[in-house]
Amino acid sequence: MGIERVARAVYVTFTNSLAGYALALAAAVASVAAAYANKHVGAFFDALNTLIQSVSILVWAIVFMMVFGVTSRKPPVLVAAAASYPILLTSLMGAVRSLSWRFRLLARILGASRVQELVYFILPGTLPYLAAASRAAVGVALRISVVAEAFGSSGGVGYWLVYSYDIGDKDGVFAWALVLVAMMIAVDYAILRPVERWASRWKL
Amino acid sequence: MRVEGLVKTYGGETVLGGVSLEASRGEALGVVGPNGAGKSTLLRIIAGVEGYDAGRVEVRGRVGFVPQETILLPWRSLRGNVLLAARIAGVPRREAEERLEDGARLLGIEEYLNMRPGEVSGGTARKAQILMALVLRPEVLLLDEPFTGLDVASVASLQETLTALRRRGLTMIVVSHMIGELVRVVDRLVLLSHKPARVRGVYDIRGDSSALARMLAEELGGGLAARGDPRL
Repeated sequence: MGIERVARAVYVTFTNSLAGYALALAAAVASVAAAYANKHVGAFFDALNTLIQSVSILVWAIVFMMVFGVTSRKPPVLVAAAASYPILLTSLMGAVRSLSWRFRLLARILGASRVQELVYFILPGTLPYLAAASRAAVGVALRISVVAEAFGSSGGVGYWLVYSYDIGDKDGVFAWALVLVAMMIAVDYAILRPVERWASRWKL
Repeated sequence: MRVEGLVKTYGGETVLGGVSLEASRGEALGVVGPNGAGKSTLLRIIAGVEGYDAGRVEVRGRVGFVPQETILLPWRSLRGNVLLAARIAGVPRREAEERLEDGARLLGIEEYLNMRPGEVSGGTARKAQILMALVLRPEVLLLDEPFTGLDVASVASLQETLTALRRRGLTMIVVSHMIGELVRVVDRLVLLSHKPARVRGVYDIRGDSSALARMLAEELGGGLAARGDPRL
């Protein structure tokens, strides 16, 4: 377990999780924008959210691996996205509902169009809530992408953890588990908490 | 600005029962009445923010509206808030900057423009809200309870500002329950009755305003003057 291998594995897991989170974030923001424009679309995303949450992450991991292959890096990314999307969407939808009357009133007073209302008033207003939800979503993305890595051979922390188990290397299992914990703590303290603090400055 | 026979109902309850009023160019009109009489509803309808069931609203020129609650975007500086209002209204950036500086000077908030709403006092935030309306260069300015929540110094400063705006030829309609403060900035007072609101009287107060304020306060049923309310 050389330092180079650890660094490489951490890089792979980190980028898998981050890509999954970014994908989920983009999908959640787009869903909220669409739902804001049309309440029927909103009902559709509500149902989709329930559906995604009701399917086990294990099922998503197997399905994505069947579709993209075990050596692909796509399954861990997509599984991380599937796990964090409901967290982000639920939080964003709730934030939009709770803030909108004040900002909608201001938007109407200023004569803003529906698009301007969303871009200038509603979405920025959800940022503190989004930052708080992101802490949970990134944590889930990290933990879940490791599970998907364990099934494949992408070379992330999850892959090496299961590999150590397969060859009966107990120390290796604990060492990779510690790497994962250290990664989670580092990401939480170095990125997520400061971002949450920064965004909560303008929480109403 | 003219309103004729305005009727507004909420869930079967008539809030405005045929309100008519008129303000000529450069005139400041104060609207008073008991709590829940529909004063704020009346302003929101004139501002075009809310619909109505019957009657007519006729406004010549652009309307600027300052709502009862100060609503500024907390992630933008005061400058950012005001420029956003100008941007939405289609005012070119350079012109918006000029209007911003001019308005900020008038309101005395130049030094706070780069601060966020959470970093300034309630009075300064209130003035920034007024500036958001002024940057649109409205012909009619509607103010809903502009003095509420302000300290004595801020109220005096806001009164000076409103007087200066009136001198510039701006038509103003000011709703306030603080009659003592209101009479210092308006030409006429419109008294609304309780639900359904109708115009109960229109008083020209360009003469002896303090005596009239006492009379109105008693007429409103609150007996403010009799209780020695400091607002009078």
